[in-house]
Amino acid sequence: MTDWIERLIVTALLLALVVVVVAMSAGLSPVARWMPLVVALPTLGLLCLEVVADAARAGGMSRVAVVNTRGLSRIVEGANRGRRDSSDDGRRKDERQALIWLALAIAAVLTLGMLGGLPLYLLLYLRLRARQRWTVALGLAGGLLLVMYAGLDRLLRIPLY
Amino acid sequence: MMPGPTLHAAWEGLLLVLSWPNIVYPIAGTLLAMVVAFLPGISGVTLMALAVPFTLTWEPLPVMLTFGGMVGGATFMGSITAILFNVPGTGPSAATLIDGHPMAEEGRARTAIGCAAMASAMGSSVGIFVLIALVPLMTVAILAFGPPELLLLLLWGLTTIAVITRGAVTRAAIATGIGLLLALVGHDARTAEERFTFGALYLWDGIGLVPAMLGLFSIAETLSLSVSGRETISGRHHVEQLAGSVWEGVRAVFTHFGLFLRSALVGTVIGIIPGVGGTVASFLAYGQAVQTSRDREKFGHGDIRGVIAPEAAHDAKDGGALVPVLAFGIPGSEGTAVLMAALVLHGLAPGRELMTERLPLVFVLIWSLFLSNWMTSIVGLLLVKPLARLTTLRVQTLVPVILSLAVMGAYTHAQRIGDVVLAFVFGVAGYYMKKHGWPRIPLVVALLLGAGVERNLHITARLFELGRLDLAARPILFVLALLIAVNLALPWRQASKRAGAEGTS
Repeated sequence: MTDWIERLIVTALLLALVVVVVAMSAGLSPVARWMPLVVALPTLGLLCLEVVADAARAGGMSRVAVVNTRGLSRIVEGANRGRRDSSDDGRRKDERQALIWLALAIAAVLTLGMLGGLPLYLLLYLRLRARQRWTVALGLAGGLLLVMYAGLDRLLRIPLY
Repeated sequence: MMPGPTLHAAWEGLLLVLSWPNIVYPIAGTLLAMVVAFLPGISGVTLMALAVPFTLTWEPLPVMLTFGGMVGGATFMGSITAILFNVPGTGPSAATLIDGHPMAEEGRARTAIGCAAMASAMGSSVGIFVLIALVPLMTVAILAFGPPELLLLLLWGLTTIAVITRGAVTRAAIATGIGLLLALVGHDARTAEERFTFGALYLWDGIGLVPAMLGLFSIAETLSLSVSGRETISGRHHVEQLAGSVWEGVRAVFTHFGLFLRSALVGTVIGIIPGVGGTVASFLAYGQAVQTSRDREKFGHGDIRGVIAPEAAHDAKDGGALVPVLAFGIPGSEGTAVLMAALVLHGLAPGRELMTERLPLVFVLIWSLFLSNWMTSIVGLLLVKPLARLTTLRVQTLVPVILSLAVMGAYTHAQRIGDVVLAFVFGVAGYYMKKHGWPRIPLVVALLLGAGVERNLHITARLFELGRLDLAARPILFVLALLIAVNLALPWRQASKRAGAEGTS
């Protein structure tokens, strides 16, 4: 997936969110839907403009002007579609990894709780992704556990999940 | 001129704060609040709320001393995480990160923190001196702002933020609209109808600002850092390689003294108005700093003026915020609401009696806040070096630590696991927004102000229907309407200027 498709998807998702709000507002009483519609309708209009602008930009990006010493030679349609350099691939790989680690963090908290999940995530990340020494990883994870247990649970009496 | 009894009470209050062992209470309150406020999402409000039951058996004097210290102590620390990690510890710190974090990325974290500390301490002093001067005049100041004025003030705040945000104004306007729509999730205030909750019990209370903010900034930032390919935040590996100094930051406040004073006054006035709060104060001060500068294109890229303005306003707001609480018992923010609850529980009902017969106690609170604000800044300055060292640590080491703190902050604010999930959702959304040039700040500010906009809009509309809105008797409305019009016209003016410049070149 190229950047411009991703950009278009982000705009489209925001558009979908506002469309859902407008659709759901129809089921509300006139008093309750007044404010949502006052905000949603202009936002929807602006978003439609943005989708068109994004699509136009995406179209424009796929045209490449070939220039030689005599001036403009020709316009190549779709020249950069599907072309990705190695740095782009590396960035996407990093992005995928970051999202996977984020998913692991939430999964660890939801399954093992705050006290178990969060220090475990910290320990694994520091060892496997950051390639930190065991002493650093264990020290930071232990410190986090201590802050949560002694500081939050015991001292401030915040019941941890 | 200040009347004699007020001056006498102010002196008596100062002596009470400085006497032994009274001085221990504000110092302890400040230090405790500083430690707690360093954790993103856990604000001084959380600490104050937790402290209320522990202080029930105390005399009113130590209560005033401790709570004054807590209010002041929590304010500055959120800015440090904003500058160092692009993680706003509190809502108002979000304005500081716009220029503070780029400074840290340039290796000038020490300068940014030094500047924030000085602007913060001096800003709070302005707020407190205005508060002392206003003690005899409090009634008039508050009654000038009714729902129509508040509505326009909030709209002015939203339009200012949309206009000043870096990037396309259209996108900022859309982000503002989406933020306002997210603020409407929950219940309609007038009909009690469920709105956009999809039947989920969790959404009945609406979308929490803290998880949204932590997600959009902290979690999104960890993702962004992970894929940035940077080794360290500042790009340097040793603290000696960092540019700038603390004193450069401290001096900058005096170099831009006019800007500082204007921002502090903006903060104080916003603080006085109930229900508006520190976030608006910071962003409005930032907005006026941008609007009154000739070289506004430098903002957002590590301009020190972008640190001075929000920090001065944010801390000046604390003094102003005490005006409606002490005079009328109208809390303007979560912090002052908790403070008021603590006062009432100790038999100190705000109003005439407190402002006349127990005036020295009021000044104890004010001086305690003053002491706390300066103490926080001095401690902050002393900690600059070790704190700046954090920007030389490896990004991959910081990422899980920041994420863990964000998760803790999202959870501890209301102790709901749903908030953690929400923070992750906002985190992913915030990452893609950042990646594709969608401004996140207008969304957060709109989410914060949405409820106030709707409430004041309904009241204003009702007043208009009933024919009880005498526009001629409300000159502030015209001033605010003019300011909004200027904001709305600004993008077109800039666009036409650009077009003109391109045409001539």
